Amino acid sequence: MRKLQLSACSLLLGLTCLFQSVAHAETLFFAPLPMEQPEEVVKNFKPMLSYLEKKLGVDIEIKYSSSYAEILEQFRLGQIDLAYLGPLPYVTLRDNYAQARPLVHFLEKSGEAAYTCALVSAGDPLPRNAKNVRVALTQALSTCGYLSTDNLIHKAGSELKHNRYRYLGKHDEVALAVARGDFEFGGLKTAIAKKYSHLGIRVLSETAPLPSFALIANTRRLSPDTLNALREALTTLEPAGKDKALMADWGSNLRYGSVKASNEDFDVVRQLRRGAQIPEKGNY
Amino acid sequence: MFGLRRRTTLAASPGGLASRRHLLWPFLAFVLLPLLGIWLLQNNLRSKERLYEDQFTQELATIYQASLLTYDKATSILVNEVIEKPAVRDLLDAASRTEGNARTPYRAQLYRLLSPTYRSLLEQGVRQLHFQTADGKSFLRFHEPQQYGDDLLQVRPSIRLAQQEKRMVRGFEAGRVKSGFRFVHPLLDQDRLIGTVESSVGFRVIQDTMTKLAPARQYYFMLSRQSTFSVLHEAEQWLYGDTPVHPDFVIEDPQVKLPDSPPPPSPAVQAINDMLGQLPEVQAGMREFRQFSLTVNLAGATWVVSLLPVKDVTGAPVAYILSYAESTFISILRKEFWSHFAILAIMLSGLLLLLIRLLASRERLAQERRNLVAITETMGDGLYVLDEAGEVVLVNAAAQKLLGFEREALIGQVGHDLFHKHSLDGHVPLANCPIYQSVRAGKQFFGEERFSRHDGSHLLVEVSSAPLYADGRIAGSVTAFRDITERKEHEARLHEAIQAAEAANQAKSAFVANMSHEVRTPMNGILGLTALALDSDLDSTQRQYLELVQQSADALMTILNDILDFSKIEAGKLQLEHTSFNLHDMALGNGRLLAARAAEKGLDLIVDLDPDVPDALIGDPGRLRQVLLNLLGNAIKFTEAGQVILRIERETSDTHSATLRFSVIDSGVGIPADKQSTIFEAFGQADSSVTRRFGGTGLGLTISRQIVQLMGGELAVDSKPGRGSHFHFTITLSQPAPADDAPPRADTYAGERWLLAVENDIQRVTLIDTLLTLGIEIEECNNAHSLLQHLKHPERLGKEAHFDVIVAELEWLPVEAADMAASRAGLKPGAIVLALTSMNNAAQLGVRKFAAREIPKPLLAGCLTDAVTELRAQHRSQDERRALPAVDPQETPKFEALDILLVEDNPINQRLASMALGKLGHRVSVAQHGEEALALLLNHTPDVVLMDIQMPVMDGIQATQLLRQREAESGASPLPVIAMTANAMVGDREECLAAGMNGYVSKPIQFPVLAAEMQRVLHEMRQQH
Repeated sequence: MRKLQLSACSLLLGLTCLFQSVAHAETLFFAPLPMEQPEEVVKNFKPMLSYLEKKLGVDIEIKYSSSYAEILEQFRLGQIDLAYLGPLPYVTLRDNYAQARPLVHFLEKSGEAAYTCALVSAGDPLPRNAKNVRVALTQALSTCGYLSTDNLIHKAGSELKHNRYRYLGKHDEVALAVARGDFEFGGLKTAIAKKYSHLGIRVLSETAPLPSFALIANTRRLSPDTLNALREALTTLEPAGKDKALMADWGSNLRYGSVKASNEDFDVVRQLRRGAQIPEKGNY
Repeated sequence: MFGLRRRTTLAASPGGLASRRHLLWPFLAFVLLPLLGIWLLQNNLRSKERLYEDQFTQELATIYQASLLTYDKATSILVNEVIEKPAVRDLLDAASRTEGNARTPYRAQLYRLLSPTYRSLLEQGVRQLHFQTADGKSFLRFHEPQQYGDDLLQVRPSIRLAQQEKRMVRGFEAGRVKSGFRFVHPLLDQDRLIGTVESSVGFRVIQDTMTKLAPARQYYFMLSRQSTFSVLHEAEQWLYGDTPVHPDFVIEDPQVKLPDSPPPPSPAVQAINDMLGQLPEVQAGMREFRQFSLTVNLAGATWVVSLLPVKDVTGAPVAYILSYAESTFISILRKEFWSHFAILAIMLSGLLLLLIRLLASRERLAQERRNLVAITETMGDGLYVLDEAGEVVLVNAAAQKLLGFEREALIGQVGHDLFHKHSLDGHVPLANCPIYQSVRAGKQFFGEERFSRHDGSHLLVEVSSAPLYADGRIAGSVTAFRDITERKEHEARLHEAIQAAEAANQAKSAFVANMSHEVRTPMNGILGLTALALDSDLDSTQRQYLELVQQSADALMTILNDILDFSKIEAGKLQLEHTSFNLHDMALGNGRLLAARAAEKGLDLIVDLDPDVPDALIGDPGRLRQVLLNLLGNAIKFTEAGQVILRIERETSDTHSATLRFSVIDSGVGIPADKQSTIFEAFGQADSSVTRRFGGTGLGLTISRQIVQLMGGELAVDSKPGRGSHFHFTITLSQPAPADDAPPRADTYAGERWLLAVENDIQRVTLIDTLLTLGIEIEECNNAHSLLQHLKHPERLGKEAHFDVIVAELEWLPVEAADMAASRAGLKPGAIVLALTSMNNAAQLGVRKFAAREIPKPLLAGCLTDAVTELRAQHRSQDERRALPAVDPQETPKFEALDILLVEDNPINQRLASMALGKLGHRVSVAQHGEEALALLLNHTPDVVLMDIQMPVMDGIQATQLLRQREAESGASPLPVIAMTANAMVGDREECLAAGMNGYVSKPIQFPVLAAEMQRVLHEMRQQH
């Protein structure tokens, strides 16, 4: 009888401990930018998130949303702890939500913590003073969207508002739309555009380097220790060295490593945006 | 006839062990039969379930193939209508002719060309559209355009087969990116391969199609872990997860992260999957990629799960489709199983019960058989059983002993030939054997036969044989017999003794009859002549002597009659008559017959009849009279003072019979209690000193009791010494049917006033009771003074004292003329005075003048009313009052002078009868015997013939018969003939009447009896004619 009581106590204690550990396993909500098809996005981020889960002892759940604006809204509402954002979405978020803090910049293939946006076509060059050509854009809040594309068209003597443009959402969707001939031109991240060169996509022009995509943390929800741990976990990786195998199946925009980021890194974008009126919807 | 064909001996069998062995098999059977039944039922259930499950499996395969065909056709249409166009073919052909980046323009053009098509395909659920160049490399994936240029020939058998064999390849296949159901079409220029195009759909699309085809089912898709992961890009493995069904299988996108992934399984399917993971047969079956179905129970519901292996294009199993369907049919099958099981259980229980009863019955039979063996072996009678051929199959020890045969010598032999066929009955063959014939006819045989022993001697046996039946036909017989030699000898001796006794009895009867006749004849002479002598002039001494002679002769006759009656009763020959008689007259006659004796002792003899005692009855009045006279005579005899009452009461009656209680009550010496039981025994009077004192044989009560018993009653006595005795009995007598034409009684006394001056209180009350029923107003008095007061001074009584009728004791009535005149003051004009007289009381002349008539005691109320009626009739006719002469209590009824022929051989009797009848005024002529009488009657016709029976020459019987014959021939009126015989035995009277006689008196002749009989006969005959 005494043995039975002891066994029952042991079992109860074990279960209690188990529940405690489960209860303490913090879940972080991560929002990726919907730059590509959902499965592609998930596929790109899942290995990195798994690494972070293991490193920090937390659960990270992907909160996929196809709208940049929706992601920023959820961030402000505290429903998202971490987000993968481009420069323009970040600065836009930061304008209204000071608790958003960039942790790291993800390095491009070139090893730089910067990237460029491109104006692409299916082979045809952009004519001077172009008018009424169809331009595919990602999203209003995308850095490579209206802001960069208008800047690049401006360099060719025209403006987007004199042409027909439409937001398609994802970068690869812009590339494929142009490849399909649905649009004559498109604006998207240069690195993504080059992935579709086999479909005849040509980069016509590129912007100056912009601060690369960053992991943005919601400091209202995450402790400084977590922030530090996250930054530490990512910045200490050696993509060309010991961690090459680990990062091999990470997304192409993640696998080249990262560096510490700060709010000031995005000032260049703030300057680029200055005075720009970014329409929220396409003009046709 | 199994029972009789077995050669059975009666040796005891060790039944216990054998019966236990016999019990073993049935009980084993009843243990095994239920198990076998359950096994059969279970097999039947499993068989039906398997059939049903197989049906489910086949249906799943059909549904799956139909779903594939749907997309097969869709892709064929796609290829034929869209892909097989020159523009597409040219682009692919051109691309196949180049390599590397040189293919880019063609790819871009193709993408641009077919993007609208792909968009529409996506809407139809087609996941992939993929072109390959003729070298087996990916040219353009519409579903993943950034992936291209990889060599597919090794990892994609479908593409390899389509390119190598230039045929359409269809089937499931794992892919580098995703698995899917592939439809690969070769694009050919004549026989030259330009490239291939592949469309692919995910399981969700197939599942949706299958759901449309069979909506009742749910589906689940699993991939072989090994087959899938061996092809899949490592980067794509994250999308796959484990399944609880089997560790060797994975499912795609368990979290449903991708939009075209199937929805998660329902909770029921998840629960079933958890169960499947625990079932070894499922694990084994899936490892072997077997196609099967099974039934599982979940939360009270029955589900059929079908597992269909999915093969890739090479025929290798690489995945499973599971379907789940809730099945009521399986539930019905299982209910059917349980109902069959219940029926089986009930039937087997019933059979077991029957078997137990059968075994019990068998054991009882065995026990009975053992008992029978024991009984037959111990019984003293011989017993044997024969079969239908007459051969002995069973024989007991007693039979062996009686017959002197060993058992072995009897068994199997024809019994009849062995011990029943012998010289004494002429060697009767079996067919003629009476026992055999009786039994063969289905009858039992009882009789006496003679059997022969082994040593040749014979024994007389009493045989009882009965047929034995088997299957409704006679199969043999059982015979019991006993040696009756000794009994027969005893019976013979007994028979002889009985015959001797009967002969002695007959001799005694004859002696008694003869003695009766012989004694009666001289006694007749003694009594008659004594009576004649007493009527002559005698001196006082002579008269005294002769009276003593008469008393002695009467006593002797009484003794003689008692002995005769007793002899009859002892011989059982006393028979009762059934004739009509009047009870009231008989009772009164009895009373009056003994009234003189009572009066001599100063006793009141009262006859008390209830008013509702019927008068006309049917019975034996002679015997009833005999009993009553005996009881009354005894009562008078043993009573010194007081009264003797004969009381008759009705207990019950109906139209056909009346139950009456007769009582004789006296105030005599009484009988002690310890003597009451002996007084009815022959010669058992209570006190022999009484016998000595009062005389008598002591047979009277014995005879009376026997007669009452013959009448259906029981004579009993209630008595206390000194307080008198009460003898009583109750009998039921028949009543004749009432005559419809009986005239209504005209007399009415209602309203009359009668004065009853009777001394005896009982007598007075008895009379009053009856008279009151007639509506008569009664005034009573119990002494002479009171009577005279009523008669002389009616005014003193203060009443209406004039009487219509005065009934008074004779001695109380006025004697003197002056008194008479004064006494008439109390009488109405025309009033009638009746005087009650005792037998020994002679009325004075004065009284006779005052009273209109004297009524002797004892009397009944009817005597009074009859006298009043008669006197009033006389008054009316003569209108004058005339006193009638007193009636001599001993007087003989008066007759007109008759002409009588006396046929009598005895001279004394001739003289006696002639003198007695002559004194009565009759003329008597005499014949010596019957023949002489017949001769006399030829010329002379008397009024009546008195015929003796035993006479020389011709007896009275024959003479009467010849007389009747002659009368019949001549047409003459029959002459009254009265038998007069000393033959007093029973049957004499009947014989006389049968011979044609009209009346009967027995000797010695009592002339009042003879006179009454003559009056009766003449009256009857005159009424007839």
